[in-house]
Amino acid sequence: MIFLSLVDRLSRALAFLSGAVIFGIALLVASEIFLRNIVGVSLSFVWEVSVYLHMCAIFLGAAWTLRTGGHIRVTLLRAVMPRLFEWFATLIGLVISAYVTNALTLLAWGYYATGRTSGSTTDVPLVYPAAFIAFGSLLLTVQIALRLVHLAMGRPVELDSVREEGANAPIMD
Amino acid sequence: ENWDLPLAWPATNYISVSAQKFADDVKTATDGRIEITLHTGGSLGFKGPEMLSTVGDGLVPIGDMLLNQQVGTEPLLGMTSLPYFLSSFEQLKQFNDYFRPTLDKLMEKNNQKLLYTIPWPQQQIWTKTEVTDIASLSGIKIRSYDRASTDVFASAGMTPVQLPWGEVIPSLAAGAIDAVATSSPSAVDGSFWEFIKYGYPTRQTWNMNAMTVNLDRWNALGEEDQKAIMDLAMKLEPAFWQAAQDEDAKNSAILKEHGIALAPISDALRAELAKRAEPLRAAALEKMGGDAKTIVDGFKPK
Amino acid sequence: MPLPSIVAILSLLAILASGAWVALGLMGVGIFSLEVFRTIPVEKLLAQSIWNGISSPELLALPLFILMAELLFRSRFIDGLFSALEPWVRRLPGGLLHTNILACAFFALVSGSSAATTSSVGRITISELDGRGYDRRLTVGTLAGAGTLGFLIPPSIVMIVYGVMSQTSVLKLFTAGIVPGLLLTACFMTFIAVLSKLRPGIVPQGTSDNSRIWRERLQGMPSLLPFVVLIGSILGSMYGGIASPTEAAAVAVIVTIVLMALERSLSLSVLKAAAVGTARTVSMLGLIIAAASFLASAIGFLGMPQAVAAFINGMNLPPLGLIVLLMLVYIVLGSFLEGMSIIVMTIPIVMPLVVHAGYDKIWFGVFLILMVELAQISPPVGMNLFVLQGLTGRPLSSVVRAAFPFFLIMLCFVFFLAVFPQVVSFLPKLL
Ligand code: NA
Ligand code: NA
Repeated sequence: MIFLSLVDRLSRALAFLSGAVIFGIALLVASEIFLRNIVGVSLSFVWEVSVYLHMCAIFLGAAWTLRTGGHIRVTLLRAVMPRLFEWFATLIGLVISAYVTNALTLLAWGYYATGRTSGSTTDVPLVYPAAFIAFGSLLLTVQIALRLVHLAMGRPVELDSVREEGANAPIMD
Repeated sequence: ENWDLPLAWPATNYISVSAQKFADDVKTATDGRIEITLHTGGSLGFKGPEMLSTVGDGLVPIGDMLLNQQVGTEPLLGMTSLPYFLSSFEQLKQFNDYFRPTLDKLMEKNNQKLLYTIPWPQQQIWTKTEVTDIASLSGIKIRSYDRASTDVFASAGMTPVQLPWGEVIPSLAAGAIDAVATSSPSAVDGSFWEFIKYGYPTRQTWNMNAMTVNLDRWNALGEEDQKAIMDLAMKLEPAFWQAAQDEDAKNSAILKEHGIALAPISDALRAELAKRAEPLRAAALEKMGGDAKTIVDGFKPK
Repeated sequence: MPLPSIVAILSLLAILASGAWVALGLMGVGIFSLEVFRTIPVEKLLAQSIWNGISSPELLALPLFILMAELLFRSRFIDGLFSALEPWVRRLPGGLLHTNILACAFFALVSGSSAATTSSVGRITISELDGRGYDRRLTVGTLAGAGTLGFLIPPSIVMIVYGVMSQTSVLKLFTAGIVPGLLLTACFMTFIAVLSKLRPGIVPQGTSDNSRIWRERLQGMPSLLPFVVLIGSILGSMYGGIASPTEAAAVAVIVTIVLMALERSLSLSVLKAAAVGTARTVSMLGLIIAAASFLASAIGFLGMPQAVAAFINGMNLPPLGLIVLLMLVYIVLGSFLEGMSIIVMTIPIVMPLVVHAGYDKIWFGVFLILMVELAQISPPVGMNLFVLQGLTGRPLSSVVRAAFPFFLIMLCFVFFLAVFPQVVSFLPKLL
C-alpha cells in the first residue's frame, strides 16, 4: 500500500520535473536568441542540451501519464469484456515495456562503459540523458505492473488528472 | 548472402553513387555470393554519428560513416578535422596513405574491417557579403558544423552558430544567419544561390568517409571472397577520390552558373586564419590524447 | 508482398485491437517481427531507434508550442478572444467553427508541425466551442482536418526534410505550399458553411441581432491585442531574422508568460498545472514518435519498401495511374506510420519512379506533404487523432469518425492537384 502511493508520488514529481524541463528549454533557447542578437555571442550548447532535455522530459513524464490515462490506446473492444480486456492489455503492455526498459538500460550502460560522448561541440557524455531515459522507462514499467495490482484489488486503474492537477481536463463525454 | 548498407546521403550523392558501384562490382567479383542492398537517405533510420557502433555491434553487416562524426566513440577519427592541419586535397591524400595502418587498427578495435575511404571536397564558407581580409569576417553569423570549425570561426572574430541543417535555409532566408560553412555539394543541395553571393575555399578542416564491414561477418567469409572484396576496394578507392574532386568541380560550375561568385581567399587571410588556429589545434590534440601528437608530428607532407 | 510484411501488418492490427497502449504496441510489433524474421540484436536496434526518433532538433518546436498552449489555456485571454471573434463570423453559416479552421491556418504560419498546430489551437478552442453549444463532432473534425495545415502552409518541418532529401529548393517548396494551403482552407470552410445550411442544428442558434454588429466588432478589438502581440512576435522573430523557425517557438513561450504576467493570471499553481499538462502531452506524443521511428526501421529491415517499389515498377503504369496507385500505397502506409518516417522511408525508393514518370519534384513534394497530412488523421495510427483524443478524452473511434469527412475532402483535393498540377507549380515558377 505504502509502496503504491510512493510510486504514485514519485511518478507525479517526475512529471512535474518533466514539465519544468520544457520550461528550461524555453529559457535556454530564449537566452541564445537574446545573446546572439544583442551581444553577438552564440551559446553553442543550446540545441544539443535542449534535445537531451526533451528526450528526458518524454520519459520522465511517461509513468504519470500512464497513471492518469494520458497514453493513447484503442478501446474499441473494451465493451465486449471490460475486465478481461484490461488484464490482457495491461499484460501485453507490461511485457513490451519491460523489454524496452531492458534495451534502454543496456544502452545507458554501454554509454557509461565506453564513455561515449556526443562528439559534437558540447561533448556531452551520452550516459546522462540515457540514464534518465532508462529510469523513466523503468518507472513506466513499474506503473504498468502496479496497474495489475489495482486490477486485482478491484480499484480504479487510473487517477483523474483534473482532480490531481487541473491538468488535461477530459472536456467531453 | 544479402548485406543491408545504410547511407545517410541521398541516392544521387557521389558517396552513394560510389557505394552503388562498389556493390555492383562486389556482386560480380563474388559470383553473386555477396549482394549489397543500399538504403540511401537514412531510410533504415540510422544517423551519422552512431555508424561506428552500428557496424561494430552488428546491427548492419556493412556501413558507411563520416569519420569526424565518430569522435564521441573514437577521438582519433577526428584527425583530418584538426583546424588547419591539412592545407590541400593533395595533403589529405598523402595523409590518407600515412594514416591507413592506424585507421585499420582503430576499425579493428571497434570490431570492423575497413574497406575503403572516400573524402569530402574542400570546406568553404558561403557568405552574403564579400570577404577580403580578416576584418571583413568580423561579426558574421555563420552556421558551423563541428567543434573545430566553431573554434576557428570564433578565433577569426565571427559568431559561429549551431543550427540543425533543417533550420539553416529558413534562417539564411530571413537573415538569422549570414553565412554557412560546408562543401560545394551541400551548397548545391540547399540551392544556396537563393540567399548567398560568395563562396570561399577556407579549408579549415577536411572530412573523410569510410566503408567498413562488421568483423564477425567479415571473418565468416571465405578467403577467396575476402580477397576479391579487398582487391576491389583497393582498386576502386583512387577512382572514388577522383569522384570527390570531380564532384567539387561539377558543383562549383553549377553554383557559378547560378551567380555565386567563387573566389580564392588571399594568402594573407589564409595565413592569418591558420595562425589563429594554431593554439586551437594544439588544444584539440591535447584533448584527443593517445598517439594523436605522435601521429601528427610524424606526418611529413611532400 | 513478402511474408514478413504481412505478418507485421496483421500483428499490428491485433496488438492495437487488444487495447495495449499505441506506443508500446508499435514497439512490440517491431520487436516481434524482427525477432522472428531477422538475426540482428533487436534490443540494440530498439534502443538506438528510440534514441534517434526523439533526438531530432526539429522536434523541439512541439514541446514548446504545447507548453505555450497549456499556459494560454489557463489565461483569461481565451474568453475575450471568442467574444471578440463571434461578431465577425456571426453572419457566416457555421459561425465560430470557422475560427477553428482559420486559427489552424494562422497557427500553421508560425508552426512547422501539424501536431503542434492541432494541440495548440485545440487546447484553446475546444472547451470554448463546446461551452457555446457547437456540435462536438464538427469541432473535433475541423481541428483534425485544419490542424494538418501545419505541414502544408510554410514553415514546415516535413517540407524541409523532403527538400534536403530530394535536393529541391526549400524556398520553392514553401512557396508551392501557399496556394494549396489557402485552397484547402477554403474547402474546409465551404464544407462547414454548406453543412450548417443543410443541418442548422449543428450551430447554436443565438440572437441573430445584427443591428449593432459593427459596434460589437470594434468593442471586441482590445481583446484580440494579446494574440496580435503573440502571433506578431513569433512571425516577427522568424521573418525578421532574429530566430530560426524552431527557436521562434521559445519566443512564443516567453511572450505568453510575459503577457500573462501583465494580465496577472500567472501564479505558481498555474505554472505547476501547465507543467504537468505539458509533460502529459509531450510524453504521450514523444513515446509514439519514438515507437514509430523504431517500427519504420524494422519495416525497412524487413524489406517492405523495396518490395512495394518492385511491385509498382512491374506494373508499367501511365503517370496518372502511377500517382493514383501511390496515393493508395501512401494511405496504407499512412494508416500505421508516422509522417516523418513515411517521408524518410519512401523518398529514396519512390522518388526515382516519380521523376521517371515526368513529374516535377516540387509538385511531388506537395503531393507527399498532403499524403502525410492524410496520415495524421487516418486510423489506427494518426498523430492528430491522438492529439485530439488526448485533448477531449473521447474514444479514438469517435475522433476518427469526426475526422472522416475532412479526410475525404483532402483526398479529393489531392486528386484535384494530380489533374491540375499547375495549381502547385505556378507560384514557385515566378521565383
Ligand atoms: Na506551417
Ligand atoms: Na494514420
